Amino acid sequence: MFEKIIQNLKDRFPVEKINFENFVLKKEVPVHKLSWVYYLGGMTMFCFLIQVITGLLLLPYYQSNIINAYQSIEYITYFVPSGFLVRNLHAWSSSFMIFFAIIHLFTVFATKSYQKPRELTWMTGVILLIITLGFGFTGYLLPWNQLSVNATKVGMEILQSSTSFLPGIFKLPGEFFATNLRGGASITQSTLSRFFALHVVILPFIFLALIMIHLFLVQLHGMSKENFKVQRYEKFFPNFFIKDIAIWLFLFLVLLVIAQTIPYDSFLSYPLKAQYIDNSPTPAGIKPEWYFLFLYYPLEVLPKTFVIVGSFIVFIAILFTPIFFKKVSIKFHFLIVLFVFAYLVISTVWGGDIVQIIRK
Amino acid sequence: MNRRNFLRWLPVAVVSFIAITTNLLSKLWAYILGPKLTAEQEAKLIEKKIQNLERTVSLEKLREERLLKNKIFICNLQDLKKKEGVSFVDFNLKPALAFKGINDEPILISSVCTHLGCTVQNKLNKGRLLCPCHISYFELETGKALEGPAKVPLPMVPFVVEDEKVFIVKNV
Amino acid sequence: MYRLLENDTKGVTLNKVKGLITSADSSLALRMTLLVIFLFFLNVTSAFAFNEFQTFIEQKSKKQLNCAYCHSHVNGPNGNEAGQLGSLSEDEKQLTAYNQFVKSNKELVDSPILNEFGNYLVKKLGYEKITNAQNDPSLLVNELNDLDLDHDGISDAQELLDGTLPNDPLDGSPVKLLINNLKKKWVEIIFQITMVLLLIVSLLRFRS
Repeated sequence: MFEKIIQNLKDRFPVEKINFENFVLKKEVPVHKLSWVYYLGGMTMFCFLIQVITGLLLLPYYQSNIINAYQSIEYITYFVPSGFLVRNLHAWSSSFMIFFAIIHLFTVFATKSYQKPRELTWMTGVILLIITLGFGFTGYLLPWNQLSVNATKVGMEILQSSTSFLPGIFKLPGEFFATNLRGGASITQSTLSRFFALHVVILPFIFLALIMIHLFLVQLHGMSKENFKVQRYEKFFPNFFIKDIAIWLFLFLVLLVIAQTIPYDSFLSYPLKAQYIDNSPTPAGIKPEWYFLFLYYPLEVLPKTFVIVGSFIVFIAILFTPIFFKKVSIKFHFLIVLFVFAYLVISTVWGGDIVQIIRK
Repeated sequence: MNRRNFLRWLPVAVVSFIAITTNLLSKLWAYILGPKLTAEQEAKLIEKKIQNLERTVSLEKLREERLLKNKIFICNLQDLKKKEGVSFVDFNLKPALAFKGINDEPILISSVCTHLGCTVQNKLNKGRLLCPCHISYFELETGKALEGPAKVPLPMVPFVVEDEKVFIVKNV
Repeated sequence: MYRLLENDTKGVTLNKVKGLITSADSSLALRMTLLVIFLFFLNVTSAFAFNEFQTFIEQKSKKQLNCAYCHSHVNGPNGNEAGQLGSLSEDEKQLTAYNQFVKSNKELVDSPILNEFGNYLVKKLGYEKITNAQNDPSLLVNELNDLDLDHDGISDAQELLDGTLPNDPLDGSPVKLLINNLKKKWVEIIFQITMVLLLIVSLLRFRS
């Protein structure tokens, strides 16, 4: 029994492989038709790097109190030289990061690359995705405009009532979690301070710790090749590495051009971007960021309990995929990914219209 | 690595790298140094800041009052009118209106429209409360939503009358 | 006030009403009665000033907007908060566009209840044109075809039809802003694209 556990750990942490020859000189990457999937994780991380840098740049100018938050961002956007670029990059790169993280998850799942010995890589990856969504949620409040505060109000209300369908004391966790996250019963200065601390310090620390484990494991196990038709192998240094950097540079170029030409906020109507003032009328069109719409729209038309329980089940299924999907065929994996991706696209792009139709 | 290739392309790489880095670093430098504002621009920003601060001060004063007192003076009974409400802020720091109703009894009603939170107007429109944002009408005596997108009635605000003065009281 | 103008026949204008009140021929009692009636109309009909513009812009842009398009307060000029009529001092009340029009001010000063775009409209088009456009807001659009207050490359008329703020260079239809920003900044962007692509190509040459 004990030996079995030791053996399991040894399989997943082959630390005897760690030496200069294995990690640098001889490191190889499989080449095949689907080799492009190997770049997705790096692209996600590159976007995170951009977030860190632009975030650090925004930090000296942003003021995290409700009196000055909105004005400080106005100052950055309209007065600080290249302030608009820094802020816009931060906003666009956040969406790009979440997009690539999701595609990365899909491709790893579809190719069953989470299998032994990469289970821990998968699980740290899923938690990294959740933290990334947490970054998006906490960051959204910081501008303190009508959309920020009202969308966060809605989100917190959903979290608060997420366990209300359970019996007895099990009702409490949702309310407890929401009240503590908000620092009270409603969105106030306490909320902004907490979200700011989470966004700038707490989540980054947790993220960094997890990404180091995630990256270490990727280096340790190498790129998965089990379910691919490998044609040959290419060296990591310099070939794959150079291509990796080239992709990152191209991604940076795309982000740079977009950030200089399309304001991220220009997709919103101006009443949503106005400063949030207590007791001011709520403008129309309050909704969460695009990456939460796949949850938000179902909540508008389906019974809340169903959506919450369903989401929880899906989350557990995703987190423990290496256990639950072990025996499932790769073809079925691919079908699941196709189906889920279609659902995500349809609910995000046309969810609003569908909700309107159902309501009528 | 082909040495000839390397030598031919290295200068290209270096030059392009320096070019793009210079472009970005010059932006970064200006960003870090910050803006140089004219006196008018700074004055405008300060004015906005003052507006925000003043708004916060009055809100905090109201909040303090509502924490410490159980009864807050709104207006004299004689100041109430039938067709125009006296605006005040209730115990939850939300806007509300006080009218003189039938039998000269005060009517104190929340003025937060139950549709999307706009503030209902204080002047009655054809004897009804009107929310101008999406044109909802409410009945003054009961707060019932009469017409328009609002469906939920406006809640009443609890009050007492003492010495011909109207006070709002905390909801027990 | 504006309703009074609308409901009147073409003959009777505001000035004629004022003339009636100030005419030396009327007795004091008649003058006071007329003044009371005048002020009554002033109060009751000021509620919906210029909602026609909001309806027009919302129809064209298919967005739900608010009074902050032209006014300094999100709910418009009626109310007691900063930027609304109720909070103005007597001196400030004299500066509203209407009052300045009545006084036939040659140099129009900024009105405290209008934002940058609202004041810009009044100065460019004049108070009369704006009030006339209440009946046909598309007249306003025609006047703004050649103007671009925020220099974002989108004409004020087009911004009106899109429901975006003409006084904010970062507010506009994303596609139009993309095209206009590319036009404005094409030198720098081409430079950046060229340099990064060169860097990528040269790095790729370093593979073995």
